[in-house]
Amino acid sequence: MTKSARIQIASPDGAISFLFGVFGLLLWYMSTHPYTTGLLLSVGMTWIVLSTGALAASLLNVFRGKPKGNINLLATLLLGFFPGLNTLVLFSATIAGIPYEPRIFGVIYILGSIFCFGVMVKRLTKPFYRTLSTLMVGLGLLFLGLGDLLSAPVLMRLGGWSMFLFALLTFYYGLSVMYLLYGGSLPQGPSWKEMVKKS
Amino acid sequence: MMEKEYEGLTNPGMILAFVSSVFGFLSFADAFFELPIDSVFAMGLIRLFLGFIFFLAAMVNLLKGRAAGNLNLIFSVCFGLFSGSSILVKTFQNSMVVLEQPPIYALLQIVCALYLAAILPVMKKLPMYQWICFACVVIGLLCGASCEFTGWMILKRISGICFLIFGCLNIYTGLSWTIEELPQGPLMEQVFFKNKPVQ
Repeated sequence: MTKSARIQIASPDGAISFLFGVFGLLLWYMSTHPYTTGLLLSVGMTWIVLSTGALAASLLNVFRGKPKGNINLLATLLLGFFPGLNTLVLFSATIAGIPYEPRIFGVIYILGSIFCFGVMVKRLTKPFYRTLSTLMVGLGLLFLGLGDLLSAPVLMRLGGWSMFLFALLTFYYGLSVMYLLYGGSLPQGPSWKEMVKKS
Repeated sequence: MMEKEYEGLTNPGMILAFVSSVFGFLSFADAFFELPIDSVFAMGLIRLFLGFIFFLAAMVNLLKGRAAGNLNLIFSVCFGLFSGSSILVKTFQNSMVVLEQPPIYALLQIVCALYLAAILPVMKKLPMYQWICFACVVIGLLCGASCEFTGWMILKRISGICFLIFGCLNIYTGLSWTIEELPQGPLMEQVFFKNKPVQ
């Protein structure tokens, strides 16, 4: 009975891709726009609320026995909870007048980017846009991490724009999953390996 | 939707319809009436708590193996958790005089609307009134968010009317779960794809 229940769980990828896409957009917005205290509070709240949704959906993928559940959990932490908490603490520190520039988040982002590059290698057989999406999130995390550690705004911007591209590609993947669930389909394109073989 | 459903869990369709109709009427009230600050605060709390219930119901739908769980999850986050927290933040900002409310929520509403709009064409197996319900959400979100950017009150009014229709249609959806004899009307594909046989 337990086994049949596990098989029946629907794929939450449509919702989770939407949430990850929004995380990407939030990271892009925060790293390319000047912020006010009002923005910090609003974005911080939004981030944490969306992260709870992403966490639940990631756990569902874990319960479904899908290896990508782990990747979803990693992305929930790196793109959702960490930046969300960081933004809320930054808001509190700004209101209280306490200096707050934790470079430790940079280290976590860089570590996360290494894992993302590992996942990208695994995804070389998937449609190219999915490989590109994983590459973009890896590069985004790497640039954001380095920008944080070195206090380099240019690197932060590069990271932000990588996240923007990741968001667009993730939205497309989410829509593809939703179309599949409702009996339709969207063009997926060749995988990176197929492209190399052709050329 | 051709998916197999797990029968061990009750279908949360009725409670989802109830919460959706409440969201619809709250959005209508917000668009058409100048609500005092305590009512706005209460609205934020209601949205937050109902969003949590909606979130649980979405999880049940996903566990049952229903693709609609993905849409429920996006709805719970955007209409309940995210919208409720945004209203609460706005209330606090008004009373604490932090700084002006940035348009980040409007931006995310537009993203949500575009995402849902892209899914609409593939939902042709839904009864027509439920499809119109989704279309109203898309137009409502787009118009509501556009009002934040342009300041045109007419857009807010259109958004309010769309959410009123959404609320009313959800009452009918909820009643359909309890009174099975209620007519559901034609499916979208029967109306717009008459030449193709209905499976």
